[in-house]
Amino acid sequence: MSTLLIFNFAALFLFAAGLRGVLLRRSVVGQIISINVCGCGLFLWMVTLAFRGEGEAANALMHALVLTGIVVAVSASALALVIDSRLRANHDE
Amino acid sequence: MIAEATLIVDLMLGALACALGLLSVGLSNLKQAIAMFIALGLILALIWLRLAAPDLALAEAALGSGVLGGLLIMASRGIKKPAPDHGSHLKNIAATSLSLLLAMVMGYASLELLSTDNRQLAEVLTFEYLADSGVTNPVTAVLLNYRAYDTLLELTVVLAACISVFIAGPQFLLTDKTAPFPQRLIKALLPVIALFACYLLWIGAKEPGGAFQAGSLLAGGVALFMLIGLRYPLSVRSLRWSLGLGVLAFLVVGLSSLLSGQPFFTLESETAGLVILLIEIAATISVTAALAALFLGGHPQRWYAHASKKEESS
Amino acid sequence: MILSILGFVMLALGLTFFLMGSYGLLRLKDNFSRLHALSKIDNLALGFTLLGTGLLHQSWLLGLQLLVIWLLCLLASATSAYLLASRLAEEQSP
Repeated sequence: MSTLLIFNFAALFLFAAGLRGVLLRRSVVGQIISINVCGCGLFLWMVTLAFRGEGEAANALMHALVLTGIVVAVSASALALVIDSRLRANHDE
Repeated sequence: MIAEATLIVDLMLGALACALGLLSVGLSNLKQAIAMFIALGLILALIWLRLAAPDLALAEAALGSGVLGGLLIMASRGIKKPAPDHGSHLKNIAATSLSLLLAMVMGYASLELLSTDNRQLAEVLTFEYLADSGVTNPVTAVLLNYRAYDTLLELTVVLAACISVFIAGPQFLLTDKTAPFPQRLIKALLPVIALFACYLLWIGAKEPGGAFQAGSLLAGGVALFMLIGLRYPLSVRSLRWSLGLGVLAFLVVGLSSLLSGQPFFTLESETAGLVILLIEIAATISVTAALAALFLGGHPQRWYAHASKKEESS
Repeated sequence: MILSILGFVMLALGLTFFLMGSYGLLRLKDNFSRLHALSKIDNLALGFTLLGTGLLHQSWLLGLQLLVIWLLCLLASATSAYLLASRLAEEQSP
């Protein structure tokens, strides 16, 4: 039971929870939350794979990829939320 | 004893992250689910600190928790009753088993890669050429030198999302001026935010920091500035220029190296530090404008229409 | 040596106050009293925790930085508590 195993398990658990939420949730905002939870699990997985020990420098390449992923996830979620609120506004009229 | 203590902390953080993930996915009350998601983002920032990723911790706390949480809260304001999630029993079992199966396959595949000893070739080369790359922070070197093409495309994605939100989005909110007491409090916070964002931008070459962290912090500051009712002091044209500045700076540097006969975006080691700093400044301005515009929603023309209507009516 | 013991005592006190604040958040009935618990007790607990950290490290520069962090957290939590309370007051008295 080391640090890596704990966080690997937590990451894949988050991924599975997010995937289950995407499949089962009916409201679009709930699905966007679930996709982001799934993404958080994937980021945690990548950073755990990039970990190289307590005092050592970790794999900077994976860190940069995860940073890009966080920014792109935020932009895509913003667009998805705006499209959803516009659809709801059109539907309610 | 220290090793067991840190292991207990890791166990608690991992268990908390799992519980928060499960809650944010399972709760049907949207506001509670969003609160759990924001808490998950902050716990994830702590986990990044445990996994030696301080740049990611800064970015996750600002972007993944702050900006995304704010967007989700504003998007859930109009929803009175979300659609209930009760699928049939069979659908529940099928979805859960599919997710668990996929997670187990990924876990089995990662067991071989999960060790602290196997450094890959690309990783070794990152540190070998770090002295020539112009910065000493390896993440900044990867983002702005080795894999600069990815960062260019990332800035383009942010710009595209911003333009689409301008076209499609209803305006989220620009309320009336708030009471003077919170205005004074927030006005006291704003210089600190600006100073800290500039510090993060400058120190990104040596220590954890960089363009995206500074940009998201400053975007939070701009959003606060507009939420308390102050007018955005610059014009719409300046907003357009600041949105395009990041991509423009990247393209200028990339194409200028094409003109001198080298591949796209080649940096010389003597001037690399300066060029990276200039690109980072442009990227920070761009990310700030884009995130603030995404947060406030709608076309910026309507921000000013609202403000001028307020001036006419008051 | 004495400073280290004092630092651990401060950290323990901070932990106790954080627990009290969370208990208050869960068990108090009114939203206003929950805000009261959050803003007062959590800031006090944060102060104790930062004081304990500063004593354990025994560096003046770190202590100054932690003091600035505590003041900024006070400012931010005061602002958000006021905004939440005013919105709650608006909702309660239409």
